[in-house]
Amino acid sequence: MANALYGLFKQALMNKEHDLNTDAVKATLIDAADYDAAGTINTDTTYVAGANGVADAAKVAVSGTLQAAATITLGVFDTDNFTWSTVSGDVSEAILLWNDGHASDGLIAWYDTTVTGLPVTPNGGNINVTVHGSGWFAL
Amino acid sequence: MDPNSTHQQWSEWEFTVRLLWAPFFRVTLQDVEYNVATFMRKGFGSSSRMKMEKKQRVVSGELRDTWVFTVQTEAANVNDPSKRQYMLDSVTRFMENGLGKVDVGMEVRLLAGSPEDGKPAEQWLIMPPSVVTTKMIMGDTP
Repeated sequence: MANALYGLFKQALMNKEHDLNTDAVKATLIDAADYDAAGTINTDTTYVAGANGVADAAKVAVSGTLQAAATITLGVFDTDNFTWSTVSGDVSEAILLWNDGHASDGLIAWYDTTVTGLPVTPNGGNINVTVHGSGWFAL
Repeated sequence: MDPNSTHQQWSEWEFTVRLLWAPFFRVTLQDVEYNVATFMRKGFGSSSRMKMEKKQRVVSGELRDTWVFTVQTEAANVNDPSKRQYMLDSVTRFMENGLGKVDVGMEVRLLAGSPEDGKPAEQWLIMPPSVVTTKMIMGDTP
């Protein structure tokens, strides 16, 4: 499937549940073989407690909070570049952006196309991520 | 492009150029961008891209410029100390020729490839641009 914002994220945003330049937004490297994004991105109507319905097996690496330099200027969400350190696990095909500060750990966005370098095979080393100059997404 | 293929090494070189004087002539963004891009292309090769940022700081009541040039390149061996020193010296000389007395700081980071110290290779992912079109800004269907 294509990169997309989660329907429930948009709903929660309209319901004042996210504060993206102060909440603990994180990025997770995903093994898409263990998580069906296409089946959840627009159809989920309730949050799944805990892991947001994302199987633990699908989570290859989780970033720290990306908020060091997060900005929301003019509806564009942007952060600094970041690194997943000493990553090992399955071949990974996607990146999941989510809000650890949201009551239900709300999923924000899914990226699996046009990310240069994906799929990536973890080798025990670091995986550096460069966020595009135009940010993660724009509303 | 797959930056994580076996024989590639990508690195990021960030040069922070602080003018040590208040300019009495106007240095335009376009002039700096053109000249530095040309210089960096010669230094790093064409498999590179550069981002430029201008900041200003106040020193003794004077506004002084700080330029930050970030180059991501496949061409330069980031693990070679002599290459690092060569690039720092070259950039310093180039900036002094164009801007006068400056202080140049350099930070170098391996993005993808072997660190050549026995540790696993670094890997690199580059996020796509967030798509913003006029139609979307105006609220139409993209």
